[in-house]
Amino acid sequence: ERLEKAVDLGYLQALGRLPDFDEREASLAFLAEQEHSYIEDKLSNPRLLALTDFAQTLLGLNEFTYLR
Amino acid sequence: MIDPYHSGSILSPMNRRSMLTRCGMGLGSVGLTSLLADEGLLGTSNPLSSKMPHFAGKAKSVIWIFVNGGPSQVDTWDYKPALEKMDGKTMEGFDRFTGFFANAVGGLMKSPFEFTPRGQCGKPVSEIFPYLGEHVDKMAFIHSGHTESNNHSPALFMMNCGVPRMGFPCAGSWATYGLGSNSRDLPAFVVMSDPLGRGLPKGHAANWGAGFLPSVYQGTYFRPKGDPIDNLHRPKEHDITRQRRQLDLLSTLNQRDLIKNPFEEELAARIESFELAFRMQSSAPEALDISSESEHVKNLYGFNQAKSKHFASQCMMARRLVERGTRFVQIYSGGMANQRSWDGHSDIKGNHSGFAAETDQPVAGLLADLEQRGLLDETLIIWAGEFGRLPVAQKGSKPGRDHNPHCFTAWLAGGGIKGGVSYGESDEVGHKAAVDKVHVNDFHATILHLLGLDHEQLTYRYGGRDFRLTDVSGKVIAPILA
Repeated sequence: ERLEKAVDLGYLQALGRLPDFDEREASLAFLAEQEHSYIEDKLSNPRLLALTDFAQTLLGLNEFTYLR
Repeated sequence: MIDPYHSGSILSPMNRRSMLTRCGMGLGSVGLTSLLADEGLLGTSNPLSSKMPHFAGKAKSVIWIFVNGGPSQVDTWDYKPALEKMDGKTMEGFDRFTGFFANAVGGLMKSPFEFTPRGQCGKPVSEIFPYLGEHVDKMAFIHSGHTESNNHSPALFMMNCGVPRMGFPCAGSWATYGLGSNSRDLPAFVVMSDPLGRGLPKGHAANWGAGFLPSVYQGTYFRPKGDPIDNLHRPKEHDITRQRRQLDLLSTLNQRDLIKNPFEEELAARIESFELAFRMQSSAPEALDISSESEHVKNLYGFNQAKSKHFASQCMMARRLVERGTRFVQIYSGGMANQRSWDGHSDIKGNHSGFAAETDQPVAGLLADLEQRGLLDETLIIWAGEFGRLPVAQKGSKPGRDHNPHCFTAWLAGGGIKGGVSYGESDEVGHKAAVDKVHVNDFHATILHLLGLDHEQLTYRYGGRDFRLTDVSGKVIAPILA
C-alpha cells in the first residue's frame, strides 16, 4: 500500500520508470526486513531509516549512475 | 567455434555477453552459451578472478619502488671512474637539448660520492646506499636503460604504460588483467605516493590507470595520510547485517539490469567493486595495520628513524599486501619535480643524499624481510625511475644534473631474478647506453615474463587492433633470469 507507492515513487524519481514485478517484490522484501531490523535494535523512526537505506541503494544502481 | 582458452589473447573470464559479442552469431548462440555455462566453461562476471599465466612464472607479485624524478645513475649504481678523471672538462659534441635546460649546460662533473665494492659480487655502490649495498648479491642491475622522452610526464607514462602519452594501460593493469587477483579481499593493484606533502608524480593517476582495459584493473590509490582508503571503517551506527542487506538488494537489481545490457563489461565490474569494497572493510584494516609488526621488524625497515619512518611504513604495508595476495604495489619515492623528488637539477649531492636517506634502509629492510619470510623468490622488487641524469653539470649555485633519456640504471631483485649480476653498460662517462641497450619495452617484457606472461600474447583488442604493454617490440632480458 503506502510502501508500494514509496517504492514506485523511488523508482520514478531515481530511474524515471516504474519497477517491474520482481523489482517491486525485492524492494518490498528489503524494506520489510530492514525496518524489522531497526525495530529490533530499538532505533526511532525505523520505517524512515529503512526507506533511507532504500533510497541510498537506488542511487547506487548502475542504472542510476550510467547514462544509456 | 571459438575456443575460449586458446583464442590468441587472454580474455577476461568468458561470460555470456562476451561470447555473444565475439561470435557475432546472434540469438542462435544463446542456446550454445547455456550449454557452455552448464559445462562450466563460462566464467562468472568477475574480471578479477585468478587466471592462469601463460607459463609458470617465478613471481606472483611485484613491488615497484618508483624513483620519481629520475635518479642519477653515476651517483647511485653506475660507477664511472672516467667521469672522475674528466671532471670539469667540456663534453665535446654534447647536444645541449638533451636535458630540459639547454642554457644551463656545464662541464662533466664527477660524482660527489665515494663508490665502494659491496657484497660477494663486489659491485661498486655509492656511499648513499649503506643498507642497500648489503643486498647487491640479490640484485640484477641494468645500466643500459634508455627511454624516449626527456621530460617527466611523458617519461613517467613511458615507464609505466610503455607509451610516452596518456591513455594507455600501465604495467600493473596489464599484470592484473593477465593474472587476476590473488586476494578476494584486497585490491589487486595498489599505489602509494609521498606522505610528506611533496605531491604526486607528474601525470598523476594516468600513471596507474587502466587506459582502455576495463577500469577494474586500475591501481587503487592509497591516501598518503590518514586512512589509506576512504570509508574503510564502518561507522558504528551502521550495522553490518543491514549494510549487507542493502548490498544484496543492489546486487539483485544490478544483475537484472546486466541481463538487459548484455555487452557492458563495466557494469559487471562495478557490481564486483561494491563486493570488493565490502570485503575490504573487513580485511583491509588488519592488512594495513603495521602497528602489529614486531619491534625487530620495524627496526629492520628503519621505522624508528625519523627520516625514513614514512617510507618504512609504506614498504611494510607493501609486504603485508603481497603476503595477503595483492599482485602489484607501486610506491613513489618523492613527489613533484625538483627538490621534492629525485629530480636533482640543483644540488645533486643534497638531493640524492636526502632521498637515499629516506629510502635506503626501508627498501633494504623489505628485501631482508621478504627473504626471511621465504617470499623473495616469488616477489619481484623493482627499483627504477622514469629516466637517468646527465654526466654534465647543470649550472647553478649548487650544481645538479639535468634529465637524461639516453641512459638510466635500474635494478631488479627476487621473483626469478638472478642476483649479483649487471647487464648492459653505459659509455665511459655514463652519458648514453652503449652496450646491450635496454629499451623500456625490453624492461616491460622481462617484468611480464617473470610473472609468467608472454608479452606478445598478453593483448587486448581496442580501436581495431591488438594492443599490448610492449607495443610492437620488446625482448626479454634472458641473462638476468635465474
